Amino acid sequence: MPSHRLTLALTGMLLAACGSTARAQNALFRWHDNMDRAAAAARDSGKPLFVVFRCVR
Amino acid sequence: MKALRARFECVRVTQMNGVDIARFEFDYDTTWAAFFLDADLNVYSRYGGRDSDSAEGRMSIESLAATMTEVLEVHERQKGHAPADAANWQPVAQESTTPEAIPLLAQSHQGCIHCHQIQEYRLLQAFHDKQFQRNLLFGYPLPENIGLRFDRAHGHKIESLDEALPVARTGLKAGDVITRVGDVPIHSEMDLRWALHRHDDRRPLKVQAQRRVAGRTNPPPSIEVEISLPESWRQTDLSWRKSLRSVPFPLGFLGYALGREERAKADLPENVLAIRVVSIRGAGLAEAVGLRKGDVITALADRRQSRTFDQFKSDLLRDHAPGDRVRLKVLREGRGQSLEGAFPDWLTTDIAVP
Repeated sequence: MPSHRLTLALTGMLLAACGSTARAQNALFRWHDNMDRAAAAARDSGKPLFVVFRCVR
Repeated sequence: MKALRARFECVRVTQMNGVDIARFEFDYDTTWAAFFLDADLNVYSRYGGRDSDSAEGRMSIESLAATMTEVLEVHERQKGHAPADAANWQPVAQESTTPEAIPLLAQSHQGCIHCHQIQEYRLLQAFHDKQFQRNLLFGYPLPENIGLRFDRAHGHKIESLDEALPVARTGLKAGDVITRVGDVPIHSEMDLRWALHRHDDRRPLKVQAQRRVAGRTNPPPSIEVEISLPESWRQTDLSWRKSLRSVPFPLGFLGYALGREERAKADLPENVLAIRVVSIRGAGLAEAVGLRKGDVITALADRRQSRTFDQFKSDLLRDHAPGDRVRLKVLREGRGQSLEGAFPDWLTTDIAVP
């Protein structure tokens, strides 16, 4: 995959929680914005955490 | 990717205020980084990283998926293992800390803390604490620095080895998958870069790898080797780094790389170094070597290839430490001259990051 498409894809993952087209996905999936709540959710679900740092300069 | 993503609790962080940077230590000059952890915030893996060629060239959807798949396998194994096997976690500093614990940042900064500002304030703080060392500039060495080139679609499978470097004589081969460096489990290229970043140069670099053998069933045999590190192995191009502006290096002049028209006027081809000195600013390298306003720098020691101003600055920092002789060739009023002087001591009056 060309690199600029990769950035779009990765950013798209971040933005998936926003926007009307993503609402259906969000029924199954949502991004946490609080580490403590995410860790608690991981404890409940048994899933590992995927933490993304996206710095906007 | 969506199916993989759904098997994680996903967290997005868009500012660094209050973040535990002892646990979430990454190359803060980058604008994107990912971590994989368990619910107790034990770190399985890191993903991301860039180089001077491109912001994304070292990442791919395929290698991210490979890392996520490996993390899920380890996570499932950990769940069935009581107590959990700590060897599957990456080492984390005992004491947590935040960006706000950097005194100059706390004193000078308000509002959203960007990743690069952490690295910049660390450099300034180290200088003002008299702890600055040149090695602080060369973080997260590339695998190529030790002679390894990885398959970009996998992340940590060796694609080729540099025959000119000691790694080629360790027994590692193309196709081997690096699984551990020292005490760091490896699931991505960034894991390896982090392991190199924190490596103590006084110790040998111990590397484990797995080798698939045709006709053999899993698990593939494990190989353990020690890699001798080449001279200056940490050093990489700094020109892409935002933190370059906060290095306590008194260059002592402002300049720019000549464009096409100016090169044509000066009869300088496009592939050669051509940095024009716009102004001299205080004590520093320019004063030490005798640069003057209007000079065009055409060579740094034997380096003559075309460079941007930041690349030129990066080359100076890669090749010199305070006290080293710096040799320049310049065009002054159309005539070639050689200049030479001492690389200056580290110095900055900055206490804040723009």
